[in-house]
Amino acid sequence: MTEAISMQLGGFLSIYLLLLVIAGIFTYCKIPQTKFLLLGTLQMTVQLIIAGYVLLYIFQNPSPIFVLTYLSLMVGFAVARTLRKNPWLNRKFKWITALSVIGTCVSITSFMLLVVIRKDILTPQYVIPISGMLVSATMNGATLALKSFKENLDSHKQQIEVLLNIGTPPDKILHPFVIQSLETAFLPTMNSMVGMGIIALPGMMTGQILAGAMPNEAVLYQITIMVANCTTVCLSSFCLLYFGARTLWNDRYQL
Amino acid sequence: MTLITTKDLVFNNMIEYPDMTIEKGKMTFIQGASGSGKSTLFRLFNATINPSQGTIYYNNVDISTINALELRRKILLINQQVYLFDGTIADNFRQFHGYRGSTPPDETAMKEFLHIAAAPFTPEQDVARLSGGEKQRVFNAIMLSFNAEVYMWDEPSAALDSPTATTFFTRMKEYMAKHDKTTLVISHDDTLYPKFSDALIELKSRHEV
Repeated sequence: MTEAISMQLGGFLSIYLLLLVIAGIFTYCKIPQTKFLLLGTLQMTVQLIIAGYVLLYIFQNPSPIFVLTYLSLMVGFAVARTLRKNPWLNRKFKWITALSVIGTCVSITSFMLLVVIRKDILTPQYVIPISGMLVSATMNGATLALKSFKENLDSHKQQIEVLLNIGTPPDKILHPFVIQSLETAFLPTMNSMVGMGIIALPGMMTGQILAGAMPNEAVLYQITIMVANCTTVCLSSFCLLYFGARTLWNDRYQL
Repeated sequence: MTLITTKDLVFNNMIEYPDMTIEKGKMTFIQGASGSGKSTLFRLFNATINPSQGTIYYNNVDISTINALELRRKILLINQQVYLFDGTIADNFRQFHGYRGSTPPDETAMKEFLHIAAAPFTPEQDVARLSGGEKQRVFNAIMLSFNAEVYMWDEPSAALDSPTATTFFTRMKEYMAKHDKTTLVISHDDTLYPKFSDALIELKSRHEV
């Protein structure tokens, strides 16, 4: 780390002044979310400070146990959050969702470290931030995919019932909804990829540049991350929808 | 000839059905107060739900041993709620047959089914501009084209005026008789039952049982 990143405490604290702007707008528009804004900011601050110190400790004492524990906690939270946002899932569907998220994150992170970056897979400086980005993208993708799938099911109840009654196999009935939901989950990632570099410098690249890395090198990392991101989102959403949808009917083809 | 029989049929431990027999080639009306399990009976017959007790026999075979998809293609349930895809009437014929894995009828046959269903439209017409009743007629025409063995109509004339319903039932009954197909009907339209029924099954409401 270079000096570029160090910040003075007074300067840092002044960022919270900006919250007053948001609170002002909320009050003016009578949006009753000021409390949420303050609590949310507080929660983020505490979480990040703790994460910062925990990471510092792990980086200084790079033991596989610490790294693995950190990674499991991260993935665990992501899975729990995804499941909590989709309480309609049945037990099997929950397991499939969890396994899809975990499986894709683990395999794509391994690919990133072993094949692309070529570092030891448990080097905390690499595996933690990279899997962190992939896990959060996957979580958002999975949540979006499931939400959209459920909305599709609800808004097409009549179509589903009619098709079932005339003897259509359930996989054929649900297929268009799986595809639509996959697209919905995937589009934000694609869009952010297209806008990248012109509309905004992505977060990771910004971080690296602030920390003193050369922009052209930061770009390479960003590209690999973006592609990896797209892959995890697509793969995990596909797996959980494709296999998850199969839990919605039984051997008598009843939905 | 007996086509469907039931024995000690109970759904959800709540609705108890009398043992019944349904004759092949006949039009049987199912009557009973609301909540007596008329629609539920149809769903039991096409195995989209399971009975909690008892057995349904189709051609003397316990339906729980028949592949449910095959069964639904033979014992067709026509929903109370009409559904059509976007596009023309012909598109809808093709779309539904595509889902079902059957060959859609050609244009002449489509016109014939539309005629039976009292739907005075050409296959090229877009369904978007049809009214609720017109959609129901088109939907009925498509259902007729599936060449099932048993047709279970759940309120097929709910959105039709009485003369149209009578026309549809006259032509439909004729078609069913000609092809030796069996028809089951649930209908609140009291003018239909005396004219068209060959047999009646009466279901008692729960508190009468």
